[in-house]
Amino acid sequence: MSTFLSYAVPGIPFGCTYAIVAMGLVLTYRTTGVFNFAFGSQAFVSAFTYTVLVEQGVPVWPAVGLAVVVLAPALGWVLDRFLFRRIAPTNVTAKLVSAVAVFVALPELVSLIFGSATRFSPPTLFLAPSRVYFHVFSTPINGLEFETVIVTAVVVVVLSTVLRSSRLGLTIRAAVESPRLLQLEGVRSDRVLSVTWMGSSLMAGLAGVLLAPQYPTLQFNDYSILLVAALAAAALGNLADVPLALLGGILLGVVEGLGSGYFPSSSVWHTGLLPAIPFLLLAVLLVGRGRLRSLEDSEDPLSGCDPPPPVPIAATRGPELDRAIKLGGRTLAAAAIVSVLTWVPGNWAFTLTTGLVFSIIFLSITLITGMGGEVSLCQATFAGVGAFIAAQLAVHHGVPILLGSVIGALGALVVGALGALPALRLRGLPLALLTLALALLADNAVFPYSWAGGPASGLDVPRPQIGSVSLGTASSKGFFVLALLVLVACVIGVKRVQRATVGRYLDALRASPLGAESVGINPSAAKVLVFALSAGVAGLGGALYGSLQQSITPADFNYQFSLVFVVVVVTTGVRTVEGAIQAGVGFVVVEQLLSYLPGRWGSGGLAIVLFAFAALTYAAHPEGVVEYQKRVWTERAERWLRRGDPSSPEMAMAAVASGGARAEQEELGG
Amino acid sequence: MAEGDRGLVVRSLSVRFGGITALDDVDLDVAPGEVVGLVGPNGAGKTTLVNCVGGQLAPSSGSVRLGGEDLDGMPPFRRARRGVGRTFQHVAIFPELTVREHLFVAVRARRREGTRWSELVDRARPNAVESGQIDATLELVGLTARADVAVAALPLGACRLVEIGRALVGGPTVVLADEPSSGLDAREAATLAAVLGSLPGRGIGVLLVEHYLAMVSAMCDRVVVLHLGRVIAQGSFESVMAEPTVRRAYLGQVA
Repeated sequence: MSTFLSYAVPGIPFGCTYAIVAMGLVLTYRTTGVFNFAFGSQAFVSAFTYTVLVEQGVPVWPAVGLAVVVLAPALGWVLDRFLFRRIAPTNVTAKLVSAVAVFVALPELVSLIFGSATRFSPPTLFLAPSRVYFHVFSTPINGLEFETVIVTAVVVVVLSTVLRSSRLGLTIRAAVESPRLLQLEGVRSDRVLSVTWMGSSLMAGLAGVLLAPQYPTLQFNDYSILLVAALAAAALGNLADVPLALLGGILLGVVEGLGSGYFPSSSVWHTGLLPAIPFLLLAVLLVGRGRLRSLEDSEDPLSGCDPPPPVPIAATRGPELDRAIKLGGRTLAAAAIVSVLTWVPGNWAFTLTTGLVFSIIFLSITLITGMGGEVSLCQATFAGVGAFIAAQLAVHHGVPILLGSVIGALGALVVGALGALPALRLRGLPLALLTLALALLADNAVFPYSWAGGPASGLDVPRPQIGSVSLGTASSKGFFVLALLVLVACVIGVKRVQRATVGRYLDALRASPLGAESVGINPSAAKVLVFALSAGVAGLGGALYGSLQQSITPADFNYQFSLVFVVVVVTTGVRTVEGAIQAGVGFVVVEQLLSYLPGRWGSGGLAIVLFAFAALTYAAHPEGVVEYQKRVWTERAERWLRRGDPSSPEMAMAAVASGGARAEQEELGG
Repeated sequence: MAEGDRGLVVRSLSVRFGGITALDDVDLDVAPGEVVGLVGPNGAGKTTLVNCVGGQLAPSSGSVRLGGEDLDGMPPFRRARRGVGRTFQHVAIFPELTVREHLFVAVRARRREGTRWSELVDRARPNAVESGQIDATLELVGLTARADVAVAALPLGACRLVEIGRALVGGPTVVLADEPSSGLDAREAATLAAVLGSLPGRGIGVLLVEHYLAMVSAMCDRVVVLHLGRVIAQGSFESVMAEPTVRRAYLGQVA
């Protein structure tokens, strides 16, 4: 019993930090409908600020005050005011992707501004970290643990008092139902939402500062684990129950404590299973819990007032303009291809080849999100499956890399179909969380093994050999042609599906699952199909990526890439194949251009920050930035083409306006 | 086949949400070519009953049969393929698709079982038979002129007609119309009544959930009154409306 407790008790302080973030997640999700992934990063930002301030000689309390009481709510207020409030309540994808974008961008932004040097952990808040204050069942409790529990208790008491017995709490609970309805009652619900955001951001910051002294150095990775653990804790509370989220967080900490106590540190369980406990729990809860399974996107009674999502502009523009634009696009693409093959220097040819390979991977997001209507956060994992199968076959069995890539794509396709099975009854947020859990499981419990992700030093992947022609290491131009051919084949394939009967079924399911099922469309079959196709395309792209890079490690395909991929593609335009290509080529070109910048600005983090900032515009232009710009320019061009044409809408409007004025005059005169 | 086995047969259907009994031992029949009105005050369980027949909701107990076939446990899309067509209280249409595409998707998806891999790469064009059915349905709901307009651009009345068309293209056995006239003006409601009224002639049974009693009285062969999850009366419109229990349920205590 005492061994059990001595393992369980050290898990409690971790559990407390999970619980604080989980309560913040639930609170904002219930009131605003945004499931804020960014709390993980916000916790990191507060912990980082606190650490830096203390390093600079600022005393602990002012440092905490600045990092937690001032900065954290300010960040929450900014996120609400300038981002989340602008997203239509029914647009689940926008809410999800924006939160993911902030989650990805904040730590990159921090390391751009302050550099990425190792920072040692800050001191505890008010108790001596290693002094034993008292014993619980003969398990010693040190200051670090005691302090975390005290702060958590204070948070819980304050939160429950505010929610239960204040006027503010009442309006917050009303805002849970519908902020817009609340507004009709004369309450300034935007202020209520601001307060919620500031409060939950403060909680995230507090959790960050509490967590920091528990690790020797300050690393963002610990905070992404904090986030996932909080997600699992929130899932235990059905994403809706604050007390259960609290309980879930603490339980999860205890389970982790027990795991690391009972599994010896050399065992497979310790290295493979232990880090995966939160993800496993998250996956099991999502698939298993009945109420969570039927969780629909929050039903705002006023959602009927929202305009329908815009249709891609290519579908509505006039035929002559359509022809001109297509011709122009093809000429531009042809010019780019000829340029790469003739005069473009080797490093840029390599960059553009990488762009084509990314475009293939990004097409998988066009399939799953643009056509399937679901956000997947494990596309990099599918790419990794394809890459590792192809690489392992080439390295250990001498299978030619091109054949291996096809096998890898098929392998990823099967994994995708299997991955869809537990997700059959989920959609929207729970589905996205499940894919995130799957990605993290793969990162922690599959890819680290050398039979899967290869040795830590990386797998050496050969370049393809076609007949006697080697697309070897000397020049990437042969590989460029190969990547181009594969991309074109994938584009044709995706477009075929888009235009086929299945594409119509997917359109119907995306618009209204209820209506689609009522006419006989099988939603499960569609989901398995779209996951499998998407994973297959991602796997093919991943295999080509490995061959292009000539060496891959599991770190090339970890979940953070999945998040970045989704942000980049959704930002540029997820509904069209052009969007995926523009995203793939644009991403690497921007990265390459920025690499000419001096110092840490050229390290690649800036590209992610820029794309994430672009993702913030997604709130206003859910069709994607590029797609939006295309619409604007198309409309301008159409107006220019129709200038002086009496049948044009503008002329018709003018005629109606003057006619109406005349009629009015006659009426007055008569 | 027994006479009672040809249409929709609902037997002792009960639905409990936690402690609330939304439907309590309900029996209901809709024979082919019959229009049955389902009326009752708000909260009577009308939509719950429709959802149980459509498969959107699993009942706590009881059975639903259509044409002699047991539908229990079947997901909505299989019921649709077996001949259940339905509309929704809040229209559940596909805004980006045109009217014709709505009907195409419905007629194609409803028609058969099994997987057709060719649907992955075909051109999404209806074959001759499907074309005929789509054109006939467009004609019936009066949307031929607007067949190629994206539904997002249509007013609510037209959307309800699209939904009805989508429910009946390809010939279902029974159509469940859940408050089809809500939100429509008198002229639109009349068009809708004409469309629904033409179904019995084709042997299609109609279960009409409706608050607009004039429409119920004009269209229905038989009326079933639900109150607090129980059937409290059934029969012709006039006889049902004359029953004191029905008057009490609708109007409160009446002398």
